[in-house]
Amino acid sequence: MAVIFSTKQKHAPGKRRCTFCTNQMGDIDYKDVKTLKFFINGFQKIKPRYYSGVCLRHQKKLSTAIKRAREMALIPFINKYRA
Amino acid sequence: MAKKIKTERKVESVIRPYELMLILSPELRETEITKKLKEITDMIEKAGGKITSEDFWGKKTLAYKIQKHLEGIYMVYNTELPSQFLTELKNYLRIEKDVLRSMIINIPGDYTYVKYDIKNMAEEKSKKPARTGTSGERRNSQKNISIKHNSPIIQPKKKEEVIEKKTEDKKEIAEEKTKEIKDEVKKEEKKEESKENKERESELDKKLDEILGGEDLKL
Repeated sequence: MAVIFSTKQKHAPGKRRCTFCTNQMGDIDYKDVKTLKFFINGFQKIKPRYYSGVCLRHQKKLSTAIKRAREMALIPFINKYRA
Repeated sequence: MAKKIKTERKVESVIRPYELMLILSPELRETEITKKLKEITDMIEKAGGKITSEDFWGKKTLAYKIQKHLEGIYMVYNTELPSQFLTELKNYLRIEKDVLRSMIINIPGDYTYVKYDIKNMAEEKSKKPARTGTSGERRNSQKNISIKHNSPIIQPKKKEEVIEKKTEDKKEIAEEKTKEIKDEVKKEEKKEESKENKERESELDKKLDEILGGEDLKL
């Protein structure tokens, strides 16, 4: 699957769509680091729903996937360069 | 007081699909890794499990330190395990010294394993071209490339280089003729030396393989 994610997608107000729903992705894999990184902050925190525009059903799946990837050291818990 | 009678509840073990991910310590050698993984697979098959697919990621840099290690060897199994066997497996992996971390998760029945090239992820970022010139120049150059594939900025540079090369070539031709005569003499000497060196290297390699190949070596 070659799905291109971008946080710079701009929709008309009131017509924001979930990127997972439009690409018809049911489950989110924790090994897929490339897509997970689009939904992570500069401080390595999970982006809230009102920034990324993900629907609630997928946000819950995304948060579990990110937490699993953190546990297996694929994604850091905190920013490395923070004091 | 009547004694309480313990009633053992019998739970039928159901076979379900699971995904097992392991991080082994990076100090293990190749023979030791295969040995360790075979122990785990044998344990699963003894308990009545089945391994449907396996994927060896190899050595990979960790996102943070685990037990003072910066690297880890990743391994992913897709298995079908009896559900009662899980606690036994988790205990075994926790106590095991060479397993830095392990995780077992449920997966749906119609799960198909997808390979992601995680090693290339880190390389892509470093390959980005270095920024040169002001922001305005960068924008203009990008526009030219997108519209015309042969950008006019690069072409004149090439012409200058070609002229310089031509002058250099003439000088080099004269020098090369004198060099060729000297080289022929040198080559004959080198051939004899290289044969001796190759024999020595092959002998050394064989000795090293014998020493390192031993499984029970302890440093």
